[in-house]
Amino acid sequence: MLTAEQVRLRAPSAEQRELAASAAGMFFRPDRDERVDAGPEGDFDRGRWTELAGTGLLGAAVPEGAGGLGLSVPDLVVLTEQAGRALLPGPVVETSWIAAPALAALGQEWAPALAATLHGDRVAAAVDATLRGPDLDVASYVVVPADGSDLLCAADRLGATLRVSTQDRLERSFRIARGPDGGGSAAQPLPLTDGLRVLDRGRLGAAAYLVGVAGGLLEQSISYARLREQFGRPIGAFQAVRHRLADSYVELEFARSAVWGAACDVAEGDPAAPVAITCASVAARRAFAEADRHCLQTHGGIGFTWEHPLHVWLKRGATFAARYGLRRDLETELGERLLARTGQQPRGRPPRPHI
Amino acid sequence: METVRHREPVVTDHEEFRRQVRAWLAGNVPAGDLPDPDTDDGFGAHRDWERRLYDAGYSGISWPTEYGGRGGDVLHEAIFAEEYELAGAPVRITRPAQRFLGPTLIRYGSAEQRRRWLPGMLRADHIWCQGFSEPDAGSDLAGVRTRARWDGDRFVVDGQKTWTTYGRFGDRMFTLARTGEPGGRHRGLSCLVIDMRGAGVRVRPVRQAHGQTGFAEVFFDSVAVPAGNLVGPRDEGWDVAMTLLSFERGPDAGAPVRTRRRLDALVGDIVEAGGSPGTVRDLGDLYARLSAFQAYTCRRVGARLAGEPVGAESSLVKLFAARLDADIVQLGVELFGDERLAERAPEFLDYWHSRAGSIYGGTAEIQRNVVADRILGLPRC
Ligand SMILES: Cc1cc2nc3c(=O)[nH]c(=O)nc-3n(C[C@H](O)[C@H](O)[C@H](O)COP(=O)(O)OP(=O)(O)OC[C@H]3O[C@@H](n4cnc5c(N)ncnc54)[C@H](O)[C@@H]3O)c2cc1C
Repeated sequence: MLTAEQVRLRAPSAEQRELAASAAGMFFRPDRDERVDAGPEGDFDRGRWTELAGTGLLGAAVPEGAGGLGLSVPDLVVLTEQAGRALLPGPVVETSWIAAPALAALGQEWAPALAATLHGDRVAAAVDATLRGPDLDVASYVVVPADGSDLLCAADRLGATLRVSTQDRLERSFRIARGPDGGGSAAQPLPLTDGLRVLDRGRLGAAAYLVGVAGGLLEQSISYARLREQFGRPIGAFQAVRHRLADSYVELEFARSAVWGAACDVAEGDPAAPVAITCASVAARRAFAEADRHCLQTHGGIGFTWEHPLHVWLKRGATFAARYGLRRDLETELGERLLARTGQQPRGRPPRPHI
Repeated sequence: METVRHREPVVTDHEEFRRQVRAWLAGNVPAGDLPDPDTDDGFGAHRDWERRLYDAGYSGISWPTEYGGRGGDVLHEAIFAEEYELAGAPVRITRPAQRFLGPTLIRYGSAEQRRRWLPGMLRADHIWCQGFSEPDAGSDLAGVRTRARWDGDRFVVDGQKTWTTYGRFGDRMFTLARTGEPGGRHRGLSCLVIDMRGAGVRVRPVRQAHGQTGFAEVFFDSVAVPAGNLVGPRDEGWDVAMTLLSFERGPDAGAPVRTRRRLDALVGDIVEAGGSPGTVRDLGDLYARLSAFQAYTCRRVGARLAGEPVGAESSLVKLFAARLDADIVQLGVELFGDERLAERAPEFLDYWHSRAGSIYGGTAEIQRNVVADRILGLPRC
């Protein structure tokens, strides 16, 4: 139902557009090209992480009183999308969406841990239901989703037992590994944040990041299609190429709206927000799948080389499309919900055509 | 010339407006279906229904009050569209007028033209049609050949339009015709309002794939059109036509409700049939897309409310929604087979109409070209 307040809230404001523009400026560092997957094989880049902490992103959703920026969930979506567009490395989604708000919610006792996390001195991460997460070997705190309440594990000694290997993951510079299951003794139960469980927060954050990746892929492909010439004209003039990119853009814009809408639901305290988040996650995966297919095709042979950054985007997208739920599982969950909901209603009829 | 009293403006408070609309619809929407609008009686019944809507103040909700509208904003219009579809109210035969012909006249018509035409449009005194497509100018609209020759004090029109929705019952046609040199493409086109009941106009109803006569061919043989029926500048009708099309393709808050009803009805059938394990994922995918459609519509209505014009984005919603609707009805056929397509099935017309979504208002291919040209900035083919 469209209400005045909702409709106003949901048209992104001028401030939010500015936020996106300034985030894009902060996240892109020409001297540190995130789009090159030739970085340190295996090592966590502390310097880069401290730099990212300096942008305020990690504590964006933490209250100002606790050292964060105190931004809303929709604002955090705006920032996270730009993070995806810039392919920011490390546990940016895990820290900003999950671990930092969790540390803040735990109160005074955990204030030093929060401060160290927001400064980038310590790393906080999270795993999803598969118990995988980024940079777990260097993490001091790991949030683990669990039955009952989600848990925060102090994980200082994890590094000694965890083997983070490039052989276990898709992309060298995004250091995903399998981590703790929360069964350890140092686990701290977590309250809900904005009424959401850890998996839902991760889902929404990862969907925003994925939309950013898909948007970045599309932007590069558009530029390439304008420049690259064959048969005496830019390939972007060929309808087969134009239509691929147009289709990708359609999915992208609808996914972006879905993610944005779900974030607004969360901000409004809508109890159905987790469903909207699942829908948005599916939409984001659709958008990425479309961009994944069409953008590689648009680049031809050059897109299949290591030197060209395209593969880094494709890999990062594939990594995020598998975080916090696979598309088929999310779709199944939604399908079952739809069947259950409809089962309780009187049988409807399709609408009559207008013409 | 007709005169109308200024109408009472809608209540500013949107939620109060929604309450009023809901209450009115609950008390007034006919219980069963109105008779088939494809018959003379049925069309008459739909005209009467339009008249009731008008009298109750539910026609032209965002149009200026001096032309019979209610002076509301985009959100009033959206709320009404949502509630109307939720209530399962009758098909609106004034839909082309309400959604795009009227708004185009409000933008480009003179004050005199607006006074002359808009109130009759809203009351369904006159049924208005869109006369763009021709046998040799469909996607390539700039190839319009219908000729409007200036004859000193009036235009004389010769040519043919086709696929004219409601042509069989039409009274006025918003026509794109060539006033400049033949073959002049985008230049030398003008928009003229033609009296379809006048001399020299012949209408031949055309049956659609489902057997009903949703549209018609319209022939013009030396039809005299007064100078005062030219809308917008002479020879510059292309811009007017493009504005009209963006209204036609633009966000319609009723559309996601219709899609939801379409999906819910299908899911209801599946539940009744005892479930269908193989389709759970398909349903989840459709549900997610419906949710994105709702979110996008909400965002666009918000942008319009904030004063953003309708532009090329309207092609995005056309592409997304047409595909979603076609996928829903297609799944119905995959699950329930050809019985679904039997003429008596409630899904019959919806199935065919959903499939036309990627053709009318500009085909999907043309929408992709619009997105590529005007949003992505790709080189032209
Ligand atoms: C239910 C319905 C109601 C309608 N109501 C109206 C109405 O009220 N008023 C009105 O004026 N018109 C109406 N139309 C007409 C509609 O706008 C046209 O059918 C449409 O614009 C396509 O034109 P065409 O039928 O001539 O197809 P064509 O233009 O011949 O297209 C045939 C195929 O070729 C493709 N094609 C054409 N050009 C290109 C290109 N440049 N690049 C890629 N592919 C291309 C098309 O996408 C399509 O797939 C209606 C149509 C339908 C189905």
